Amino acid sequence: MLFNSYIFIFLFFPLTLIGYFGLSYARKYKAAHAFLVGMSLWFYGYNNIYYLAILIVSIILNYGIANRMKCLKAGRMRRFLMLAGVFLNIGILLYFKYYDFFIENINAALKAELPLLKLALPLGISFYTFQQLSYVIDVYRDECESYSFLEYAAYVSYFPQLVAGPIVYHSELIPQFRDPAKKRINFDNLSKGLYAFSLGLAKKVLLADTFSKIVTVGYGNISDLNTPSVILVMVCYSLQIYFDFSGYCDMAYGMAYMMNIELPQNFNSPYKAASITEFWDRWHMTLTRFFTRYVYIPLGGSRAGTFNTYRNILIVFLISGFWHGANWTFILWGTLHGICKVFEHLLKVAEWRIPKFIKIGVTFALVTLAWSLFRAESISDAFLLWSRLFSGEFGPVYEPITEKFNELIEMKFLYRVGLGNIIDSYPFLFPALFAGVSYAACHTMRNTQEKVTRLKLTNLKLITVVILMLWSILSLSEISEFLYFNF
Amino acid sequence: MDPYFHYHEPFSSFSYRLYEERYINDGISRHFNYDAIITGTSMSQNFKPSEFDALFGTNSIKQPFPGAGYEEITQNLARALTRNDSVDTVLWTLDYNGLLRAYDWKQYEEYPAYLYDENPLNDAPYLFNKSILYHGIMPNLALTLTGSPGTTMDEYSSWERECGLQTILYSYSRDSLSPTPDSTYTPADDANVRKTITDNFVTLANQYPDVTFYIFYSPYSICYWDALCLEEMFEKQLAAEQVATELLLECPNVKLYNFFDQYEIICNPDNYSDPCHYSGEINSQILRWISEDTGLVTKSNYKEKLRQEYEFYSNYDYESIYK
Repeated sequence: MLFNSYIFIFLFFPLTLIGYFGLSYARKYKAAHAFLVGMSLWFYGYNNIYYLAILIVSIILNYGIANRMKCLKAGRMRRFLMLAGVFLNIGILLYFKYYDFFIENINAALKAELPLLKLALPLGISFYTFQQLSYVIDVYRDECESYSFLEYAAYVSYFPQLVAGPIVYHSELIPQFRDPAKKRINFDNLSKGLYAFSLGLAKKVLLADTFSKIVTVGYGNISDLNTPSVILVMVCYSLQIYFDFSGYCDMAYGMAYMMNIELPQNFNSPYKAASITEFWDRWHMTLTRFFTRYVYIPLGGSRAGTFNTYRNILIVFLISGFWHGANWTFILWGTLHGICKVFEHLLKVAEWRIPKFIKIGVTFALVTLAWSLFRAESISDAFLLWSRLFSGEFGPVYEPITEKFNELIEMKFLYRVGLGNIIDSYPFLFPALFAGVSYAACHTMRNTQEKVTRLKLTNLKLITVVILMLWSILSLSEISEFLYFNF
Repeated sequence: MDPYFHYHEPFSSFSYRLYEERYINDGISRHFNYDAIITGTSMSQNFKPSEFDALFGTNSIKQPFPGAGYEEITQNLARALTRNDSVDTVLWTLDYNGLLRAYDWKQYEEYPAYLYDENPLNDAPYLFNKSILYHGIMPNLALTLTGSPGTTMDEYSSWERECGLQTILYSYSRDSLSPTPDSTYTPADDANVRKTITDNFVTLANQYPDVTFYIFYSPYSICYWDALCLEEMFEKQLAAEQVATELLLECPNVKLYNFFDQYEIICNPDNYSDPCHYSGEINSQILRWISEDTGLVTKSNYKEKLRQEYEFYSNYDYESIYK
């Protein structure tokens, strides 16, 4: 189930709030927990019941392993169980996400024809396996309280963070579930959470999905793009992924907030970053935190000399790239970020006396260039895109891009109010303006957590929420135009 | 306002723009008052229900689905017949070029299925949808407030385009055509045609024995036949036609028409805007032919009709069209 769907907004989430707070009000806390788990499982299994089986089995096995570990003192068996847990989670991830990638590469290298599994990737598998990995390791390290199975299941399956993060630690979530003070409905939190949710929904539906239209046309016709078109497509993808992820984080944060749960911050205006190092302190912060704690530091971090520090950075980014997807494009994308970070350390870029806005601009350009690799179907597609970028072919933007943009109801409305001449005379203007204003918003707007913390409920805020919610919900579905070209 | 008539019939004091066939046709069959249905692909778009009613004494609605496969039209028709038991007449185009396609061939995705079913719980995309607000509600409000008339059934979905050889040649190039590798009519083709016609026409006709189904093969232009010959698909197509015809003739309530011997119409490019699409005048002519039973196919004449068709189109001097 998607956050940005009618069933989620009109049925699932209101029902969850009513059930959770209703049972808590009646002091049936265990039932409230069980209800939350049940709703989360419905949320997860809505589109594919088989995914649900994987999630449930994974929760049971991890909890069982961790529980067994708790009964043992430090020793071989305990270590064995920890490793079994780690291999279990990595194994699930490798099987469902990476098996075909490895086989395809073996087939290509050895000219073999080993069969592929062609499994659909279970939603959010990368997130919940990492969370469970952290739990197993923390239990092994004795850095973990005892939790009931229901608490553990509620933690792993908690729907706001289940499919796209943030990667929450058990120690952040389960104590909040236990806190009786958080079981009572809090209208202040409800309002603030709704405000965050409406901002997130608008970012996803009104901004990211609009950029996606341009990007889809662009990436579907790379060889037809000239230089300005490639720039537009690359920038639009950079903004699409920004608002998509930011929107998702806001919605997750907002929903949890409505339930009196505070999720860790995952997104802190990353395009304000003045270096790649800073970018990763602001983008997907809980992933960076996870890799630092469970990969970078165990590898030795920055304590084992300069060479090893750089090696460790590169390893982390290589894994991070691979974690994002089973394709060489992701691996290269991660490696590029790693190389940039190593260079920044090596050349002490942070100490360079350059105006900050130039550093921010260069960082955005680098990140955007790397995103173009992230979005490409293959490395050859990315190279083709870059060759079109430097083709030196100028002129009007690729027409299907502007045509697609002009199909937006909002653009049709602008036509109606008399701006048709301007739109037709300068087709690049409105997509560029849309991208420009959105990019400016990345710099001028505070991040949602800050907004929520400082939020003073006013009539203006209420109107903002109503308008954003209404506009977003009205945009969840469109009329499919059945264009008949056979004339 | 219910622009696609999902919940109620049109208000008499409102003007409605009838538009977006796949969104509005279902509502038309739910809430309009009718006893006859004119349906089909773009071949049916220019039919005028008023002409049909004058000839057949009916009160008809038009439900065209441009670019549709057989299955989509059949499914809509089945829903309409379930909802309205006073329907006794159906005029149905059978696109001749679809005989060899899969029974469920379609070229679109994302049909608004939430409008087609009876489940009110999945109507949210209809109720909360800015494109329906813009394309559906606003034009109706504008028409109503300015006192303008709405779209009539005759106007609905109809089109007027330039016709003639030059126009046809915009979308038709002989040079791009070459013999098709699988031009033999195989047992697999035969099974496919039988399934396509049975599932999409025969089953529905048998299910409603009291309804008369007027079905006709769409009379494409001579350029279409030219293409069939250039692709060496002519004989295969005729074999499929024979099977389809035999299956349809087994239905007592089906009246099947074939206008492929209307050479004056078919061989005159001025009647067509592309190899297949005929002008609105031809739709009117088709109605007259059907009302007079011109072109009626029967068990006793279908083989002779096929023979004539073979003789004429296999010997036609196609080069002469383009001189």
